[in-house]
Amino acid sequence: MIRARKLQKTYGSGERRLEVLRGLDLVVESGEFVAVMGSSGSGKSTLLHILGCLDRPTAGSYFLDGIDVLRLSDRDRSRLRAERIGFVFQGFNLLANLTVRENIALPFLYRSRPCRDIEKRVESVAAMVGMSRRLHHRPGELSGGEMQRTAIARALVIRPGIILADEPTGNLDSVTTGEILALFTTLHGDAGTTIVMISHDPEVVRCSQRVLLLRDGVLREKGCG
Amino acid sequence: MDKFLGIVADGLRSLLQHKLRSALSVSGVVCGVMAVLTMVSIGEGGKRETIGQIEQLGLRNVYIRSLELAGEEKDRARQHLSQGLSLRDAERIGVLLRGIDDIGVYRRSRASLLGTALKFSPEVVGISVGYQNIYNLQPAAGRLFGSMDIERRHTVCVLGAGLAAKLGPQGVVGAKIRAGDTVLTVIGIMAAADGRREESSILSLNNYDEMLLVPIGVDTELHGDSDGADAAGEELSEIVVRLTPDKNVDGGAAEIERLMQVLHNGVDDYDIILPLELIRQAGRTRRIFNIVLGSIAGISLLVGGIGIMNIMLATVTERTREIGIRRAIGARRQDILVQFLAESTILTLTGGLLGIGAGVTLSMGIGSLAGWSVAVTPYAILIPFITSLTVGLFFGLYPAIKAANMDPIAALHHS
Repeated sequence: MIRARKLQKTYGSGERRLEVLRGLDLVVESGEFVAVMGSSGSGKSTLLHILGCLDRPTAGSYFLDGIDVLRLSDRDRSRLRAERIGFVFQGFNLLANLTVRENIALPFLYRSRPCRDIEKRVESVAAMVGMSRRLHHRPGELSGGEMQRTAIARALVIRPGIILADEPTGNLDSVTTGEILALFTTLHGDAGTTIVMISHDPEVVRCSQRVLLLRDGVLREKGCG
Repeated sequence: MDKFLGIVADGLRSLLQHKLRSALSVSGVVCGVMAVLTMVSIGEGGKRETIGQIEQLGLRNVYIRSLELAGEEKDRARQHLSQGLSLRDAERIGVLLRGIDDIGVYRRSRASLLGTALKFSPEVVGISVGYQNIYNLQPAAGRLFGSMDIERRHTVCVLGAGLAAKLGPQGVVGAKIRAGDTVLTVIGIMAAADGRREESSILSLNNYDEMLLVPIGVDTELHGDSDGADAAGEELSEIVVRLTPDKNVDGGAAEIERLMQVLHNGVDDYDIILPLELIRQAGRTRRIFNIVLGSIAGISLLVGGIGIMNIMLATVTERTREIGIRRAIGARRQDILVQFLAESTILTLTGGLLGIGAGVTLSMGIGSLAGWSVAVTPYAILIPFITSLTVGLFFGLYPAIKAANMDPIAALHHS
């Protein structure tokens, strides 16, 4: 499903040149749960942005579901994100002026194909993440765990091929972290959703199938969970 | 289309969540549109009234008005054998020129009415039959002057409605009124003026309410300054020449001008006025007014537009993270552009609509309080509406482009 070869990402030039990814290879099969770990500044988020079609590598190739992403226009990459990729961020990234229901339904606004059962799908994913009773609340009225559940529901509602999670438990306490990771495990186990999760958290290692360590701009297999 | 409407609705929702800020940011547009609409409506009302008055003068008419000359100028004019505007001029125009449909003459003076309760000397207007025809005068009671009244100088009169009312029992048809040594018989009463048709300073568009109308020639007898034999030489106030429909008005006026120069031996003691030319002048004045108005409108809407751009730029900066989130979940640059453009357009359109409402109210209020003629025309509403829409699109474009071109990753990490 994900085929990335010799990915390079360099920022700046001359003396300020910074090589973040140095010929990184990555293959993630459909239905896999992969954790990417690494120290701060190792390029984990950069990798996730490239995988999520938000950024372009300096060199290399990247195929998502057989599509050569690097040949796509900005418009087509946006469409790919709207239809195949679900993002979950450390800072939740919900829109404060929208309710939980509206936040979850937001991705439908940018899909080219109209969806007739938006309400049904919103309620279904809200039930899946345990947010059915909070649909009319705004993010300011939610706890950190509830906000992350909402963000996960927003990522799930379009039935994406892949969920990219950037330190989703980074802002949560240990109890809530356990709940959110359990939710990801359930999603992976029940729905077979492909998940690539970036984390510092050793807990993530336990629930993922495969752990990759990003160091010196390349990925190394760490072991199985 | 659904997607577009969804994005526009999303923009509207964002605006409604900041009601006060939205209201303050459109205030400039509201004031601009209100000012434009009010000025256009007052200007249009004035224009219609002016053109209406000019048209009442008759677009096929040529007016020859007597000019008041100062002492020395008058002496010089008399030395050149010009006796001022006279009945002879009217007669010669009628005889010598072609394409003349009718000629009316008119002379104003004042006379004391003896044996009445009046505390003032009413204005006496000597008129010809031609004058009655050209202005299509209609009495409310009795009759107007016939050609026999003019030719034989019958001592008859027609009263303005206001004057008739003030004269009481003497202000009725058949009553006798004494002016100087002359006793006038009242043969008709004019209809009351409608109030709006006030005395014009341009030409003889008169409010006859307080006037005493007499056959031309009889008016001079009321002052005892003419024996009637030389009445043809008495200075007239005005001659009105109505040209036939097939006669070119400009050409006819030029012929009259040339003839008058000959008749008056080159003395400019008259003025030739063409209502058609007055309309053209009104049109030229109107164009200048439109340019001034357009400039004021442009400046006020520019200020309003800058206000909108300022608030939209602040909004884009404030919502940078939101833009990043929207891009991450699949929004295209175009979607972001449409959303912010929709917000600025909704703001200015709302401002435009509020401004139109306020402008119509203000125009009506000013018209009612000042007694001015105000005309709120469809274009007076349409122009500010379209302009506010254009302002919204134009001044919202730069902030929207700025939002759409943001790097999604940088936007996501914006704090």
